[in-house]
Amino acid sequence: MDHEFDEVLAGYALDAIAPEDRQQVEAHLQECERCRDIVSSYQRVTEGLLYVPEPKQPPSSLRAGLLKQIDPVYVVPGRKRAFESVSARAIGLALGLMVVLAVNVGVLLQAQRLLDQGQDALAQQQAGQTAIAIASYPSSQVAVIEEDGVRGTFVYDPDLPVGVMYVWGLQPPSEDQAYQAWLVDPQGQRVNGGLLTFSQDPGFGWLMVEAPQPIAEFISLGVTLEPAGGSVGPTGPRVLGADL
Amino acid sequence: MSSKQQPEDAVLILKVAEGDREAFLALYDRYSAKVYGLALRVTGETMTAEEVTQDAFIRLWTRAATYNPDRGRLSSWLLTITRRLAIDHFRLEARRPQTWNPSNPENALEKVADPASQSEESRWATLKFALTKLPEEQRSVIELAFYHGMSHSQIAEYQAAPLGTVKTRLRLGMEKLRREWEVEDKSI
Repeated sequence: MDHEFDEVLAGYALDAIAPEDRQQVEAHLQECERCRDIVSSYQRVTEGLLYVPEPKQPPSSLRAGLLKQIDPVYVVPGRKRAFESVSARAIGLALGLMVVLAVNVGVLLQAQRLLDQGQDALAQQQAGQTAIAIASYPSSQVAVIEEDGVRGTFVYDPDLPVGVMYVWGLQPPSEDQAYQAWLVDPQGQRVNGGLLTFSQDPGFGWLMVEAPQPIAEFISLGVTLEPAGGSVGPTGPRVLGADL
Repeated sequence: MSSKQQPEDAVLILKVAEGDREAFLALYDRYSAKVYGLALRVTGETMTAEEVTQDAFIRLWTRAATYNPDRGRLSSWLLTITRRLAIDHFRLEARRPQTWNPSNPENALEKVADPASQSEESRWATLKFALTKLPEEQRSVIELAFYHGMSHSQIAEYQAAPLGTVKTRLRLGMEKLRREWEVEDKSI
């Protein structure tokens, strides 16, 4: 017997329906066992469709590249790392040396930290002033960045080659890595947008993007995790993105 | 489909959650071909497929602790992540979808697995064969929806077909695949 939702259940299982239709279907599924059974059977098929493409070995360089990436990548707190065993004497010597150096190094680091904070604050203030200036343009736009717990905005004027990005919730990179922004043109070419800077607040980062041409000539913005100092082209995993 | 998972996957993912690189590499060696194959199917381009594959395994590494075995097999979890990443990349690059052509010699079915051999391989082969038997208009809408993340209305616009026609083709195609899948399910 035909059912009014029969025509959209397959699309629902394939995630191919409009958001407003999805809400109606989900509300209906709460009450209709028949449709739930049908959707479950479709979902078994969609799970099978994951395995239909012919398996193909990726380049061996991918494996090697991943090995380099996985150690410095941030790990959820609470995970334990396996440490290689070392001799107690070696540990004692190392600790002793650390104590001797710690005092002098600590003083130097404190002085450097104060200097860096001052410089970061100045640069952040400049970015903020730029964002305010851009926002005052009548044609200014804001692209919303949302991905896996990370939020942010990209303020820009399409006619200008500059924009300001702010992100919240992104884990600061390790010392030998950096988050790098890329502007993507309609041909898929990635143009370097610069490296994100992180403030004292954990997870808050910002960047004043300077492009070689007006932002209007790009279709999207992405952020990848790269080696410290950045890369010529994207090499690491993409962590953020927004359409422009 | 049986939800029973290879015991070794469950052990490996727990170790990955503890930061075990060897366990991670074992899972990479086990599933990278499937992940890369799926990424290539969606994106249609090797460099992007490599990026997607890399991203997928990075997510497996960083989110291993979030995997819940009660919700399904590990390989399906990983391939679902891959599919979503690949579709994101595909949309980002604004590519034109290329649907799978079963008459392309590169896509010729390999010899069907011995029914007495690994049942999972024969199930995937059965579903793939069922997909090739679908009428072109039904296969193409399923491909556009599943492998390119297009909605009913986007498919209708892309194919210049009425929305109702797209919904019907999707339903009829999926019903046929479901019948084939359920026959295979009962034969195990």
